Amino acid sequence: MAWEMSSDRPIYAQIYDKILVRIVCGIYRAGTRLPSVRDLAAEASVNPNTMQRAFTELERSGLIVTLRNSGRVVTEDMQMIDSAKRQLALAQIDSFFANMRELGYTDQEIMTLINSVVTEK
Amino acid sequence: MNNNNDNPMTPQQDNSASAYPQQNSNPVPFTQQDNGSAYTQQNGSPSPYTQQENSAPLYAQKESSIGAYVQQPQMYAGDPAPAAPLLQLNDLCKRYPGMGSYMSVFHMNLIIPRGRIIGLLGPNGCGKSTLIKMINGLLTPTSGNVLINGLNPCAATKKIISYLPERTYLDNSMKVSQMVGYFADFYEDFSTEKAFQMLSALGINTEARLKTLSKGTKEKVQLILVMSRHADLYILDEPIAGVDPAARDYILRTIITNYNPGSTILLSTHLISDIENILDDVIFMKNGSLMLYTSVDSIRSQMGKSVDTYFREVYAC
Amino acid sequence: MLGKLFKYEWKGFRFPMLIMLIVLAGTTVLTCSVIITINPRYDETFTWYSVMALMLSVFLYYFGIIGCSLGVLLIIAIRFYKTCYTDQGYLTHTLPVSTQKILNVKIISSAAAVLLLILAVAGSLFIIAHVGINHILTILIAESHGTLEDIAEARRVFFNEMSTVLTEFEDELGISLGMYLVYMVVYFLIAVIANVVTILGCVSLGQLYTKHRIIGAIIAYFVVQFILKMLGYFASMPMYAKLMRVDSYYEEYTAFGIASPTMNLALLFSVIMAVVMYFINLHMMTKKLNLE
Repeated sequence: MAWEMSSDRPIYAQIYDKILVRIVCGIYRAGTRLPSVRDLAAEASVNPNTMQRAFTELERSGLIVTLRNSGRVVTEDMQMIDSAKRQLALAQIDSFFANMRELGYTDQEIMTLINSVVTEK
Repeated sequence: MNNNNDNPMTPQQDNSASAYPQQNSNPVPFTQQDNGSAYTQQNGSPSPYTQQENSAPLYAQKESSIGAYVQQPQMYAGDPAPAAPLLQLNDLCKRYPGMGSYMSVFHMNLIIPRGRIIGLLGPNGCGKSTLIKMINGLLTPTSGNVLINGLNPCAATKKIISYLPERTYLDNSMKVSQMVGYFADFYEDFSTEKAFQMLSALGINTEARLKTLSKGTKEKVQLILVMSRHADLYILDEPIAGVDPAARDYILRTIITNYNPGSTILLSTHLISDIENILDDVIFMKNGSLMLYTSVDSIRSQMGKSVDTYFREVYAC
Repeated sequence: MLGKLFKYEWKGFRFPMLIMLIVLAGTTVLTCSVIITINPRYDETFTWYSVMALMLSVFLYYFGIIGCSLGVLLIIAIRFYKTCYTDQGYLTHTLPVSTQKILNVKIISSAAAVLLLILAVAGSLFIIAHVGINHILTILIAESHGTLEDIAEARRVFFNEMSTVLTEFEDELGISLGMYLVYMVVYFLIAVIANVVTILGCVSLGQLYTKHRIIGAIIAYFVVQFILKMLGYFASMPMYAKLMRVDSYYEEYTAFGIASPTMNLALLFSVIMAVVMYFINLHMMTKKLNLE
């Protein structure tokens, strides 16, 4: 099935995000091999060049490493993955807060609301 | 008009005025604190990849930015680069007899490199098919020329171009398997095995005569034959227009998986949204002229919209 | 690559040629079998029917030949049109072969189809003549209660007679029979190729009339035929001039001597026409190609 892409951002950036999520949530585990560009491009129904570009960006960020013999693997640096995960989480929180503030909540009110929701569960 | 003859519109590699997001200047998304992460796009935060300093519509920008983008396919730089570009149009014009002074293709200058998947887009009657026919040697230019690997269209260039016309052009009296044999006989780069594999994947009976097949099935057969070649340049004229959406997905996947990194695919279509994700670059044509030649990513990052949406705006009636 | 082009031309011609050869064979067999039924020993009514049947079958045979020769020309024109100027042209003209080679292959294979048909017609005429002569001899011998040896003897005598007739004919002709045959074969070969090129050229010329390309081709054909007829008329001038003088100088002229300059001139004209048409073909298939 083709991956869903939003229309307003470069496709490679969206692929970057999708692979990043897969790494962070352990679908592609640390130290394991990634699928080939061609296979992943076919899976996502995108141009191999675009997939390649997303990989290049991931390599630049250090999350994936190209080994001479075994192709591309996810980094074994758990700290780096955790930090990426944390960044994603922080981003979610940021956007959550931004949205809540738009609705007129203060930070204090937001925290109270969150606590009440959590304790209810 | 001819002053740009020596400098045809071409994607350039290192242009400081580039509208294209430079890879080197892209901050790594998750080390960025201020800008939200790559994950907050729904809320309208700019993507870390998006550089919006240039908000003028692409088609309103002058040549400096139109032609200025495109990273060459560094990752697939397998083969040694020959001197001549894969495809070059020099001040190409075509006027059909009986059409008065109307030019179907008007002073087109273009260089198409290897290793790209390029969409040739434009409304009906904008000269796409005329251009494609000239590249394939099916029409003679009124002026200017077409160079493929530095050669005018001839037997040698036909050898390296795999062309899918918009017409159903196979011999109706032949069986599908005979048609495969025909391609195998004439094209050295044709893979019979690949063709039969794809035919069976689409459930096409190879012993059926072409005249007994539906139009959509014939188009599938044609595309399979064309994609079973290992050509340098694939030119696909409306490859998915006549086939159902399920087969369309298969065909697009076929194009992606059979695409070898050294070759270029030039495909014309008006179904942009279906193919947008597989394109590297787009060429917009209007009234026989080149209007825009840029990358899909640069449209998306500069305009913040898909090529499809952008196309609709540009060609709004 | 040339071999492959020929292979597919042959595949294209195979089926319609087969049909025409079957028609030819059918009418030949019919005529022969009708000839054999004629025998004066049977009663008068039966003989009358046989003769009527013979006339009918000869009639059929005649139209069979006419049909086949027109048919083969039509097939050549249609096949050329279809493979070069309809949607199939996209396939033909994007093959990795030069246009000139494609044209040459089409001309040669078309001419071969015509020659094959001419050979078949000649063969069928020979068979009919053979059957006819044998049958007449058989009847004659049977009438006189002869034996098989008599038949063989009669045949020998007949063919002896024939050769004397032919020798006299040779004198009349002014050229030896062998030479005459060679001349005719060469003449036909050139004429056939020239004709084929001209027909293909007409199909190509029809492309100029973009709205009705087939009608254009037919018009071009008639125009070209008209021009050739006019030229043929001029070509026959020397013959008429000689014929007028024949009365006074009868001895000097032979049939061949009178006819051959005209034939040669007519052939020359059609060859010139063919050369022109060849380049028109090439021009239309390269510079002026405009597929829909």
